Amino acid sequence: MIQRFLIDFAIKHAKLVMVLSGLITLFFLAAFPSLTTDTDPVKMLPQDNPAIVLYNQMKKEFDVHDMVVLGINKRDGSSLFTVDGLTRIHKITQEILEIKDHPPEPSWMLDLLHSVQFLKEQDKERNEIKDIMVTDDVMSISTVDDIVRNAAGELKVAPLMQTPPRKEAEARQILTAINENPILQGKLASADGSLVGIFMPLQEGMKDRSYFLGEEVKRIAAKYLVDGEDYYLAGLPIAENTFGNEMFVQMGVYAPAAGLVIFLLLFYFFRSIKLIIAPMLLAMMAVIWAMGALIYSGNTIHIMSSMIPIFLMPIAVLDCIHIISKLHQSYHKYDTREEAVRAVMKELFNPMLYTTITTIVGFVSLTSTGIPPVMVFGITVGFGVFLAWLLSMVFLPAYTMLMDEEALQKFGQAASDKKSWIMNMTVGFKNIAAKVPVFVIATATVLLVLSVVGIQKIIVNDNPVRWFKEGHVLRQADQVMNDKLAGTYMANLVFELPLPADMNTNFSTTVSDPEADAFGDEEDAFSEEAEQAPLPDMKNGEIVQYMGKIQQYLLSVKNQEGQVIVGGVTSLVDILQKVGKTALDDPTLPDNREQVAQYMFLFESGDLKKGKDMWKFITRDGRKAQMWVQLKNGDNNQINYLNVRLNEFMRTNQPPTVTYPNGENVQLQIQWSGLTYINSVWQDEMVNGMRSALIGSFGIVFLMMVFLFRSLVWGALAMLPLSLTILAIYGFIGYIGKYYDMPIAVLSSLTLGLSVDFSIHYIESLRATYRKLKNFQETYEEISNETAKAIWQNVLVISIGFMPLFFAGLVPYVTVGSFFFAIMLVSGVSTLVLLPSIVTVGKRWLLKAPQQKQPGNLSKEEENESDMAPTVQKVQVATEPT
Amino acid sequence: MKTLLSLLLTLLLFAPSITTAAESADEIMKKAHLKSYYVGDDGRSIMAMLVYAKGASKPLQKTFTILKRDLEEGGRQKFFIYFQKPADIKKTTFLVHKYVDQDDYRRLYIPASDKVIPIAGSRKQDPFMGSDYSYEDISGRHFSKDQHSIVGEETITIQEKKKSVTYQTYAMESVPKEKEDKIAKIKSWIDKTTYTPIQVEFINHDGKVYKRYRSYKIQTIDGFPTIMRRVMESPLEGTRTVILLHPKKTNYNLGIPEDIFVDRSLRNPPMKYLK
Repeated sequence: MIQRFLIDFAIKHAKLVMVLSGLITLFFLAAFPSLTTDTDPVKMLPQDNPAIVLYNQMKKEFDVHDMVVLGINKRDGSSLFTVDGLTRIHKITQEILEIKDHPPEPSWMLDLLHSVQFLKEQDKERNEIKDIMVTDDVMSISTVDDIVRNAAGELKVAPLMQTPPRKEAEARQILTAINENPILQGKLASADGSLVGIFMPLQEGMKDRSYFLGEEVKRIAAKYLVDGEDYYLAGLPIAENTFGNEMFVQMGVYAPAAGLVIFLLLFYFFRSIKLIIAPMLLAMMAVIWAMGALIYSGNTIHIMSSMIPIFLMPIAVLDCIHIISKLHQSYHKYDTREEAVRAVMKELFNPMLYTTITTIVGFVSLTSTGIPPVMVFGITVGFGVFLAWLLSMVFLPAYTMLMDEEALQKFGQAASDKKSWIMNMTVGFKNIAAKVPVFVIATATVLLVLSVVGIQKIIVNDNPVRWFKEGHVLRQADQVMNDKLAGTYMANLVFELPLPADMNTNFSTTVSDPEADAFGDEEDAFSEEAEQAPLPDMKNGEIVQYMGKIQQYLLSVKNQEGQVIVGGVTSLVDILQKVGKTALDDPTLPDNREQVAQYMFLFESGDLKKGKDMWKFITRDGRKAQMWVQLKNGDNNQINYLNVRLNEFMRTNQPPTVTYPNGENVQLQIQWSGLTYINSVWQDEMVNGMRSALIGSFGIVFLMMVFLFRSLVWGALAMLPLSLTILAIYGFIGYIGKYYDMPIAVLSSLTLGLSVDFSIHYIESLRATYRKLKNFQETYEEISNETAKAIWQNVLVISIGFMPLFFAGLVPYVTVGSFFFAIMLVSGVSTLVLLPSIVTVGKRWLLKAPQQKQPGNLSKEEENESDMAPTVQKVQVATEPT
Repeated sequence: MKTLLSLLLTLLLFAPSITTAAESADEIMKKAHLKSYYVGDDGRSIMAMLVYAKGASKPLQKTFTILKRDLEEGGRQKFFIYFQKPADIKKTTFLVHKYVDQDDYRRLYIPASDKVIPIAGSRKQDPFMGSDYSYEDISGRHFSKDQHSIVGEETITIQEKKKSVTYQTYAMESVPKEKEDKIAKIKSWIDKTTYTPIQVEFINHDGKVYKRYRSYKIQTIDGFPTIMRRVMESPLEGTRTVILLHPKKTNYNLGIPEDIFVDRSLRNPPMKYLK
């Protein structure tokens, strides 16, 4: 029904189809200028995820920010703490503080495109110049303060370096001051002074400008650096944003490159440029429509959706190859072009419909992960796959109808007289299956077992910095800076004493109009009732002592390779110790609340920033405290391991419990937060979500196969190449020790969607042909010529076509390229060799020739029906799944 | 011709008044300084300092008793501060000897450690106890540090809790004689009758108001007009500090002797004058 309608429409209104396709493409193309990107992993999780809620709350309560770190490194390991070195660092800092965001460059192109759109409002916002950094909180040698005692022995809080030193001794003294100050040590400079760090906190919502910030910072640094010095940028925001920027460049280079290779391969196979332009156009249209719809729907492009084009391209091309291949083989058999097109479309309608639906199931199942960007990705690819199918059904026949006769004739002729190596290969596959079927089955079984073992070895781990290839400037930065500084991966440990249930949260800081309640709380400023004992809070001696212990412990944890994970921890503990040491010559950590409070008071009264730096570690109401943990390694499994060890520690060293005036006992609560931790939460959600999505869609696809073939056994057989492909690929990943990361997790759905296609085409064709010929050998001969050849062409086009991705600079693209290669090869070979082997061995049960119906003599209507219900139901009853 | 004549006339008429104004600008600022920082010979007040963090509706409160003694009108002064609240810093004391032409002498006593800590007194622009006020805002910025001029006369309306109060003021502009880090210019509005500063704006080198001070609730105590509520805002940071004077525990000329303003009092506060 749908089939006939679509093809009729395509054939009768071929020109209209072309015009409509063009118009629709233009419409969706117009969406592209308003494309916005977002590579922030925080947005990858549902915003009500507890980890995200805590993270946002923490950033607000402690006024802390995500950071980008600039490192200036002396290659020979000599100190930068010289008059010259510090003078330049002073200048670099000055200029960095001046950096402001730039509105996008105006261009007539954008203006024109915007004029046809309804996005004016958004643009106005974009044109404002905003601060990228929280300039007050930038940490550099020339911006931070140090607590010292002057010549008269008086306590003094003074800028560490207000103006560059004039004497070398002064310069060296600054390094000593940093190394002696636990708040600055390991952050502003390496112990030997050969690397200097500048920490740039990002304004809220400005993480996606960190690439721009990085570029500006690089420009400034390059201006002042001399021979033998390098600058490096590090920090998760810059890695993520750089990835976001580079992915577009890579997409711009490698997607067309893949397109070109595919084009050349198609030309090699079909020799008709005019015809093979069709799949290229079709693939582009599917991508543009799907991406355009995504942009129009107001979604931002994140790391995952940037891969949509590269996922859609092969799927769209696959559909076309089947059609063209079929047309190629049978064009000369029919009298008219219309007849040929109709016959081919009819034959392929069912398998194409099913391959499309299974692929859509694979991707739409991603919505079950509950992770917003993954859901968007799944739906968009699913939609794109549907578009690719629709276009294959309508655009491709229409295009064929409009081609000039000469080209088609040549194309048809070429088919008949060419005995290609492709054919030889498919015949070879057939022969293997015919001669040594048991060996093939045994090999597959061994492979299956090995794969399952390999899968057990999979290490789940991710780190956005690893998305860049070894040797990428960010990877170098990561190495050098984490080697010399405390660490560029930021996490936070949040400590909280919940209030007893019957005390309302008087202490919460809510935003309100300051003028409105300017008088509100002042009425009882002098009331005597507040004389009662203060509530226990973070200033309590035992809590501060415990925080000190945690800090010591975190610094001592070593990973499985014996390396330190945490290079630096900063908290109230360090402020108290610094105050004690400098002001009172007592470096011990206070153990009672009065002492803690008075040390804090001392810090606050002397601080040039009104104690701002202290309030980053403890809330003013004293209910919460926060530790800034710097990790040397951004791998998710490192922070997870750290967490496991910390929990062990806390089991043997229970957090202190306080007693509230109402007699209630409350234990100190400790939770992780920060970007590095958020990444690991995201990873967990991804891995689990993807696993259940894969299992779910596997089940659905299996049911569909059973339904399509009306047979449990055939359904199970159809799942075999796909299962083998998934297991083999992930088993291989396990063996080579490649981390199971975000891109690899997402690719599981693609694997499922793509690798089932071949077996659908193959089995459908095998059974249809057998029904017709009723001879196993002849059936094999015929499908080796047609379906098998088409499948093998597909394998070659896609696996070779995406080889350019092997050379991409971003690891996820290399991964995608390798996956295409592996999916095609494994599922192709297993379809073409394993399936016939099994059928050969089990043909007696599997291929019971239909008794009643003779498909050859059926009327059109009946034939249609038999297409929907191939073979006899008896098969199902007669056989047991093995 | 007519316009030229009128211009000449204007110049003749107003030229002398400009010179007299320059003299009286200094006088106004001197008077204002003395009226707000040198009231009586000595004084005692219980003050509440409420520091509002950015966006916070609940302040962090410190309550302390402050004693002062003027040694010279417009010159040296001595202060003694005894902290009462929050409870965990109770009995912390702070002694300041303020000098006009040399660094202050500052000593802080920490009872929990029983230690007196000498604090460097060189930086008068540093924040006072983590508030929006600087030491100089608390003890007074000496009028001789700036070049003053009268901008005009303005009516300033201060919105208080229940009513609005209107003041006739001199609008003044003061520019530091020696270049300073933070202050580029100070604009102040001085009440014509009491010489109380009603509003003061501190302008930084970017031309932005980085601190804004306002006086509320001016009451006469022991015969002296006294600002019972002062608010200092930092618009660029979104923070604000309110200082309240205890209406019953604010007095002048109590006969506080100079010899209590010594290090010894840090450990043994002169409770007699503090209550």
